[in-house]
Amino acid sequence: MTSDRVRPALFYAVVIPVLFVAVVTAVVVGSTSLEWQVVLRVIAAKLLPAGWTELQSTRADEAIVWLIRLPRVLVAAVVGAGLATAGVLMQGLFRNPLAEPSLTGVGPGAVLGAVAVFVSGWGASSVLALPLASIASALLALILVYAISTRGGSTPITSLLLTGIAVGALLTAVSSLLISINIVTWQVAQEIVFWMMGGLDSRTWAHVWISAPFVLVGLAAALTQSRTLDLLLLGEETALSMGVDVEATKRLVVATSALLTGASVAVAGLVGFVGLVVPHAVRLLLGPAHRTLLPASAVAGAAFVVLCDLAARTVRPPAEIRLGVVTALCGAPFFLVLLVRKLREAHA
Amino acid sequence: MSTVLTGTDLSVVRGSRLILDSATIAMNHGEITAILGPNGSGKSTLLRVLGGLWRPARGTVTLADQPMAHMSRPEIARRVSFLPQETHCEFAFTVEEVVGMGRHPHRGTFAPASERDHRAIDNAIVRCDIDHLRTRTIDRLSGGERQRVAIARCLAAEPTVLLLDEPTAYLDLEHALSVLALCRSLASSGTAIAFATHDLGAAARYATAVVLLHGGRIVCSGSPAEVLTPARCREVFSVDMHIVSTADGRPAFVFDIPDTTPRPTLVQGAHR
Repeated sequence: MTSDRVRPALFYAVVIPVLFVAVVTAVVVGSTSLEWQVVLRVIAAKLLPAGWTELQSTRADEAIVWLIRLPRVLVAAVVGAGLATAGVLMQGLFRNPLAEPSLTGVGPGAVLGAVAVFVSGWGASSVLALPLASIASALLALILVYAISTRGGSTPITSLLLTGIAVGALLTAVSSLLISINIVTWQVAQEIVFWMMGGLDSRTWAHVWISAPFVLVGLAAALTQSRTLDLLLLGEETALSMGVDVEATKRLVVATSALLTGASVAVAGLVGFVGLVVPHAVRLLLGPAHRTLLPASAVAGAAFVVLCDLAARTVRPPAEIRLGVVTALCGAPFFLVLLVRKLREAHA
Repeated sequence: MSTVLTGTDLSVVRGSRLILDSATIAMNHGEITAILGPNGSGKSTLLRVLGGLWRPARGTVTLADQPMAHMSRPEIARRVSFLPQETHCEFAFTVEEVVGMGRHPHRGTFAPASERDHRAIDNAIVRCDIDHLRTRTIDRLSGGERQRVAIARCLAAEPTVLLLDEPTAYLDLEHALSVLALCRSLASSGTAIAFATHDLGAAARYATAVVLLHGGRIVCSGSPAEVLTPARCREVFSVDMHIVSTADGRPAFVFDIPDTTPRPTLVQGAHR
């Protein structure tokens, strides 16, 4: 079979407009419907130097667009880009197209940090307590996993995977313990359950500023590794023989993916399947070379989560469906289709 | 013939086991060295140390009169290419992409492929006779095709030394021979080649030098005719070797389990 890939230019020509329309639509649609011209005008007025645009909108419109809806949509985009990039890195590292970002214990680590904040009530002291605690505990979980699985300066991928699963299970058990002790306080339990289903309700610019720098830095760091990641897919020994410092690359890739996952989970809770499905789909279209795959997955991940969050807000107004539920409902069937196709191929 | 790569007194320890013991080997330009020995005798270990993938516990590897221990990884990779035994990859890279990866040690992090890179890639593709596969993805290739792509990836680096770990292990006869013929043509243009193999016949036919390993030690090295004798074969592989002559006068080997070893009854039954 000859490779039947889509040209990257064509891919971006479709996905970037989709992302743009999704962002504008997500700001337009809501309990108070706005006109899209108003939305664009408010955004332009905020971004362009004073005097370039005539602001013909009410203060209320401006507040809805700039303070309520746009930050939420941007957090969705950042989270989508972050999780998709982390997924690409994990699939490259584990040389398995079905790997996902939380395999190295990072996901359960972030959850434990968040649960601790909910249970202790620190969340009330600052809006930053929750995201910072979950980023910090995600990174701590990773350091623990790495320390356990490294022997004599080398970290075999299988050890990393197994340790990640074991430490993840332990951290999840501790989280469950904290939840079960505190379940009598219904409000705390509800908050935790909601958070674990992922969601972007009442996100502010603060959340954008917490997550976006991590995701941008993470994406940039990932891009510097794109050729070495390609070589790693051919096997560690091959990569080593081509002059790659394999252990240093693994450390950088795992740390970057933890940063991306931690920052995303910190502002959105657990949003599953993005890191699994988006890179996989993009790889089917554009091929596995990381220089193309990484930025394309970031853009596609952003569009995917913005659309999922739009659905989460609008399917059953005024109530919201949790974002993690929507991504799983879209992602899991796609994953199953891929799996069945793979099984059929293996059988044929 | 000038020496390009030498390993002197190389020892490798894994855990508490000495898996390579004071091995000394020299590789010359234009020469093909076959590395022979039973499973676990240290063939792969020797190749990995010579390729700079593993640092020896003792001994030195010298590449063009420079100690390898003082060279950076990319520096080594620009001159020595190594083909591991298993090169399976689940990801659908095209043949051209995989061969292009061979240029990695010559390229900067963000440098686009230069004119020279493209030329080296094209040459390697033509050399390995995979031009018709260029746009195919490697997950859809046969074992023989995949091996030729892997060798092309090595060649794209334009190495002076090529180390191949059982390059013919999973190949059918025709493809195995074509890989060996390719080695011969590369050697004739000056590349120093070493390959590990279980195929003593191939070693005798294609190699100019043979190194025989047993239990991590080099038992014997020299020309195929010197090394591959019935006595040594019995000592190292515990099998009887009979040398017969083909019509064109070249040696061929026939192997037998020695008579002292009781034959498995199942095999006897099957013959009756």
